[in-house]
Amino acid sequence: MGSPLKKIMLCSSEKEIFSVEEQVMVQHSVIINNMIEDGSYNYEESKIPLDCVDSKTLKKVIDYCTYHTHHHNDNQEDLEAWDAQFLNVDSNGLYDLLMAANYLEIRNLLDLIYRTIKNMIKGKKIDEIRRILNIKDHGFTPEEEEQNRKEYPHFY
Amino acid sequence: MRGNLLGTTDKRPKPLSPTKAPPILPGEVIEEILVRVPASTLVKLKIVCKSWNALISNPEFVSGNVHRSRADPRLVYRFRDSRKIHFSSVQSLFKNPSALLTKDGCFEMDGDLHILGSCNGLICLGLMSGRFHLGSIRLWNPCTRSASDWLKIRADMYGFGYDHVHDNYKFLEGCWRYGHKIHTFGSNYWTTIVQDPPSYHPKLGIGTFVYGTLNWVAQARSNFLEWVIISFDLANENFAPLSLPDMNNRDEHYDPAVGVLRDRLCVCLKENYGGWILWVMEEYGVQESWTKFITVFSNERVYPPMFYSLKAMYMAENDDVLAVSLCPSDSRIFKLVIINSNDAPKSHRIFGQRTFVDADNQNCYVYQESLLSEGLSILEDDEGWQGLNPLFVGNCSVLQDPPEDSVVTMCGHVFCYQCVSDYLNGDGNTCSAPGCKAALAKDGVFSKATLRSCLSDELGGSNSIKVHDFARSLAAERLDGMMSLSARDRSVKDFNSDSKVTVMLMSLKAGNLGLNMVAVCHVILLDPWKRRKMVASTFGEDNADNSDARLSVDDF
Repeated sequence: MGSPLKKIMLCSSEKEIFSVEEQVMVQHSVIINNMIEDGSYNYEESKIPLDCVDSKTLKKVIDYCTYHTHHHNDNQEDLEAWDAQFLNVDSNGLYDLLMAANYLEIRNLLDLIYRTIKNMIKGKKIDEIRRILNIKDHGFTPEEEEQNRKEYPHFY
Repeated sequence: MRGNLLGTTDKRPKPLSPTKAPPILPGEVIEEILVRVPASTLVKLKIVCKSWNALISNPEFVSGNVHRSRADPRLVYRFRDSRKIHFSSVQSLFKNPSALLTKDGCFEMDGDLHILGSCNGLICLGLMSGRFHLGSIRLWNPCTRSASDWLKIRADMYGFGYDHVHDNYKFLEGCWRYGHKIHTFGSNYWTTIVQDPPSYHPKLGIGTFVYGTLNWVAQARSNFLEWVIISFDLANENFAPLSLPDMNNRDEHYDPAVGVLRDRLCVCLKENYGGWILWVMEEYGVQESWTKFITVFSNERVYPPMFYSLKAMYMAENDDVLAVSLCPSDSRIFKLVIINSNDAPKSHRIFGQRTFVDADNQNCYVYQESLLSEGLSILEDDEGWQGLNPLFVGNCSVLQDPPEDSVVTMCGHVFCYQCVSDYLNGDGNTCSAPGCKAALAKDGVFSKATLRSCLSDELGGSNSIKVHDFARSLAAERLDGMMSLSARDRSVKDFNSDSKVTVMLMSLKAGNLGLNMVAVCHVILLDPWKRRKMVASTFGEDNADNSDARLSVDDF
C-alpha cells in the first residue's frame, strides 16, 4: 500500500491522462490494487492504459471512487442519494460505466449498477423489459410465444 | 394526475433518447442482474426470452438466488381464525414496528392449514386432522406455485429442515409409541430411526431448524426441573442431548425456548426476579460456547408476566432481534416482539395486536423466496380442499407489488381493491396502469373469483349474456330493472350491433319475453332456481332466425 499522497496516472481510450490519488483507486479497484502490490506499476514513468474506457466514463468512475473514499463514514441515506444522482445517466452511459467498472473490478460500483438495472426492470411488463434491455430475438418459437402470451396475458 | 400513480419512487435514470438504441448486455451481466432479482419476479421473467428461461431454470442459478434472498427475508404467517397465509417484509417490520403488519400478498387456504416451518423458500404446511393432531404435511413453494404430495403422518414431535450434506430436505416424525421416522423429499422414502431419542420428555411439537439440525427443549423424565435441548442431526440421522447454558438463578416457572439467529442456536431463559436472557451458542454442540447475547425486559412487572416464553427468529444487520412470544393472557397466543439491541438502555417493543394461531404451532416463520422446486409439482388452480388458491396473478399497477384483494379491470390490469377504489373515488376515470388509457369506472372492475366463475376460455370473443336475478353493475352492458326503458333499449342495441361489447349482464325479470337478442351465442345462468324453461322462452325463440350463431346455455 502506498502513502495516500502518491498519485497514479490513468490513461483513457482518447489518451487523456487522469491523475488520481493512489489510495482512492487501490481501495476500489481490484486490478489496480494488484498492480500496485506486485510492483508492476512504476510511479515515475508508467501510466495505466485503459483502452476500453473513454474519458467521460473514466472521469465518472474516478468521481465515484473519490467520493466513496472520502465519504465512507457518511450515513447510508446520503450515500444512496449521491449514488442515485451519480447514476442518473442514459442507458448507454450506464452501460459504459458498467463495462469500465467490470474492467477495473470495482465491486461496489458494479453492484450498484446491477441493482440499478434490476430496478429498471422491476415491475415492468415483459414487452417493456425487452425494449429496455434491447432484446430483439427472444428465441421462443412463435407457438411457444403465443402459448406464453395466452397463459400469462397479464405479464405482457 | 396519472403521474403520481405510476410508481415515482424509483430513482432510475431517464429513459434513453429515442434515437439511440439501448446497448445489448452480455450474458454474464444479465446473470449478475437476475441473481439479484427476487424469486417471485424471476418466475415471470422466464418468458422474457429463451436464454433467460434457461438461466433461471439452471439449478446453480437457483441456489445462488437462494443465497442472495437471505438478505431480504419475509415473514410468512397466518392469524388465528383466518384461513389466509400472509407474507410481509421483515425489513419493513423493523423500520416501522408499530404499524400493523403490511400485507405483501396472501394466499387463501381451503383447509385448516398450519405453517410448520420454512427453509430456503420452501414452506412446510400441515393439515390438522381433528383439532389437535397433525394429519398430513406437504412442502410448498409459493413462488413457483408448486408443492409436494401430501404425506400422512402420525407424530408428537416433528420437524422440517435442510440436510446440507446430502443436499435434500427432510421431515422427521416421531412419537413414543410408534417410533421415529424420517422422510426425504425428492426420493420420497421413509427411513426408520433405530436410535431412541435421549430419555427426556420432549415438549411436543415442532423442532426448530438450525443449520442441519432440529432442536426441541425437553424435560428430564426423572427431574422435571432439569431441561435439555434434544438435537437431531439431519445428515447423520441421530439424536443427541445438548445442555442449556449454566444459569443458577433461572426462574423455573418459565419454559426455555430454542430459536435461531444467523444460523446459530439460541435459547431464551428467564432470570429469577429479572429479565429474559438471550443466549447464543456460537459453535454448535459446544457447551462452552454459550454466550449471553442480550438481557431484555428486566424492568417489567413480575406478575402477571408479559410472556411465558420467548423464541428468537431473526437478527437484522444492526443486531435487532425479531422474536415470537407466548402470551400469558392466553397460552395459545403468540405475539411478535422486536428487541432493539443497540439502544442503551436495552429496549424492546411489542407490536402486532393480532395474534398468531395456537395449538403448539406458532404459524409465523421467517421465509426467503426461492425458485427451488425439485420434487415438487405445479399446483393446479382448483385442487379443492387440498389446494392453496393464489389470489393474485400480477402486480398491482399502482404499487407495482402483488396486490391485496386483487381486482382486474376491463383493460386487463390488476390492482389492489383499495388502490383502485381510492383512485376512482378521486377524480380518476382512465386506467392508471402504465401505457394504458382505457376508460375506467366502478362498473369496469372485477374480482378474480367473479371472472373465473363466469368466463372460461371457450367463450373467446363470442357474445354472451349473463342472467342474474340481481344484476350487479359489472360488465360491458347491463340490463336490469333499475334502468329506464330508453336506457334498456340503448344497451340492447349496443349489444347487438357493437362488436366490442361481448358480455351483457341481465336480470331475469328485466330480460323477459319480447327481447330480441340476435347476437347472443352463449348464456350463462347464475340463478339456481329459475330453470332452462325460462331461458328457452327468453332466448331460444329469439335465436330461431339466427341459425349461423351457436347458442349454448351454461347452468350454474
